[in-house]
Amino acid sequence: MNDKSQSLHIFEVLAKQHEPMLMAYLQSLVADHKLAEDLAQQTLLIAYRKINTLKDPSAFPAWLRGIARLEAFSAMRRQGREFPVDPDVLQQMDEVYRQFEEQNPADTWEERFHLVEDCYGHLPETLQTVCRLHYFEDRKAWQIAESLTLNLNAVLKRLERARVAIRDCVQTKLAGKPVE
Amino acid sequence: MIDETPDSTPPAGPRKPDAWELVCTGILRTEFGRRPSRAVSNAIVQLAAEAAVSNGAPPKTHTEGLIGRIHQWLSNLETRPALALAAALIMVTGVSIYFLKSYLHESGGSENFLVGCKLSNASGMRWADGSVTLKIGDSLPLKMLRLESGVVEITFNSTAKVAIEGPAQFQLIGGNALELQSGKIATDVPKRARGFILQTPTATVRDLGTRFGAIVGTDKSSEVDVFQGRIQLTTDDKANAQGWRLTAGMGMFVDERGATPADALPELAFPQPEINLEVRPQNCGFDVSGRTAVGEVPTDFGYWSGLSYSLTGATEEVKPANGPGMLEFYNPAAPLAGDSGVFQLIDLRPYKPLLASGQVQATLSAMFNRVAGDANTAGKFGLTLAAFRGSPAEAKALWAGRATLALALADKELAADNNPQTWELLEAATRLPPETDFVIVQIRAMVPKDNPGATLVGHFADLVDLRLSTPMRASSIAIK
Repeated sequence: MNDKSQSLHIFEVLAKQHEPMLMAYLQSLVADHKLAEDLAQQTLLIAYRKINTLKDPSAFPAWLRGIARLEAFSAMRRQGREFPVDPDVLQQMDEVYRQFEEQNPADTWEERFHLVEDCYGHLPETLQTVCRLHYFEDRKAWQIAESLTLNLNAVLKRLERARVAIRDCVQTKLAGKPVE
Repeated sequence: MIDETPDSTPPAGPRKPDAWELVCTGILRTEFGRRPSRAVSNAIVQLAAEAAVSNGAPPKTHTEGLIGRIHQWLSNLETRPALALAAALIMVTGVSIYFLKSYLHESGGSENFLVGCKLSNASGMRWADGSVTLKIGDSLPLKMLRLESGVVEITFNSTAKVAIEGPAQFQLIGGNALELQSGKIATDVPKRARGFILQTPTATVRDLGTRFGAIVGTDKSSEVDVFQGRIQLTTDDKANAQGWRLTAGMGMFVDERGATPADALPELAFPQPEINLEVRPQNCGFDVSGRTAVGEVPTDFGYWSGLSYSLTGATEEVKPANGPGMLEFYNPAAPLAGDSGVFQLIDLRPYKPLLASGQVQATLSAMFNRVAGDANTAGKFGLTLAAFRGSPAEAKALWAGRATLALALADKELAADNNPQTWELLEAATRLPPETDFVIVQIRAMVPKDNPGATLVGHFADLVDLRLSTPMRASSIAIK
């Protein structure tokens, strides 16, 4: 294999390992699968070209998120949209990801995400349904309201309750406590 | 505790999600990391294409820089707090292994090739004029390839293997992804290559560690069938963005009108890459004190049984070939004095789809050793593999009549050397017919015919292994 193929191959392995994290991070910021995919692709192109600037290989995930954050910010600005996440929240998100990494350092991202899947599994059926429709199937809250014959506020409330329940459950699990 | 209050109370004004909620919802939106994404494959294709045209651009320094830092970082590992670096260790180790593998297995390259995916086997291969000229071992170019006839096997660096049967049109779209425009394909994706993606004109198949096949017609319709494990299949159907999970025996037909469940076609309708499976006996290295029995042929799967033997650790003269344990043979007591055999039954019914081809070769192997002996010491070992149809309850009778009842039988003997420092490998192989339900494995220490009283003490076995393998083949059932 020549040098270019080698470097591409190594980078592909690295990128594949962190693709679930990168996509999840970008989805948190832009809440749009297609846009997140485009931004992730752009992030990876930049990461490959700037790999020389990465001083510590163990910082690769955080470094990737940093590039992704800037790309998401630029994309929003190009679209004339306000970036939806406050800077201090962005910083806290990095801390959350760090906790995921440290909790199960030997796991893949998909394995680390089982924690959230477990907590999702603890939700009552009603909350799972709105989560599935909104987060997995990309339906808008008003579309869910129509299909479930609920009012919009009820759907928004359910989504919020689901988010809070999953958050609390994940925090508890990361702290090593049993979930009630 | 999950909040179960009614929904009637509207939200008290818009509340922005906090960092934890944002992270969790991002993870939800990726379906816990399982939602198919083409970000990496698209990026790699773009980078590969750029590399192909730039002819001398600087990735070399990228490689040297990254790898150099990785190795430097590894060499400093002991001086750093292990826990904080553990996460990165996984990543770096994986990368280093891949890096080393690449060096070991690749020989030169051309700039038009994508991440070292190779043509690993071929039969009757004929490419369309001007499409490509390839020989076994070559890396595959980054362009649409037109296979007019024959079967080719491609091995990805991820270790995923595919067999494609012509006429077919396909191209690599990543180091673990392939686009099939037309033709037949079958995959063998080991766990480490999980995530292999097959793109057809109407469907995207994400492998979740399995074997599956697909046929893409000239009308661009796709038939996807799962032989083993599970896959995720998605289409352009916006109403079902998460697609379908298909498991063994399930199939799906997808055309421009949508997806329709279908009964999976038999594996013989697809080509097949070379497959190697390890179907190890339970406690194959005799390293754990699992279930064992004293007696003759077992009546169930998964344990060793013999008239006179024990599981032991290292002795003064002989150390196990691997791990802490090995098996020691003893002389059976009269009236069964003679060779000392130890048996295990191995269930092969889970491999029926693979066996259906009639091309599966089973190779039984074991390591043997003995203490230095004299004229009164036995010196031979034996190994038998016998395949049967039926139930384990019949095993004793089937074994007794194996000369006529076995569907396949392989037997090998070894005259062991007189050196307790060396373990010797013995292998026996046979082709398994599709009717095979289980095999009986026997390892034995043998006494000379003219000296049935020769001692078997100090005769050992270790690392008994059974491997199933099938060669690459073309499909043998025509599908209209």
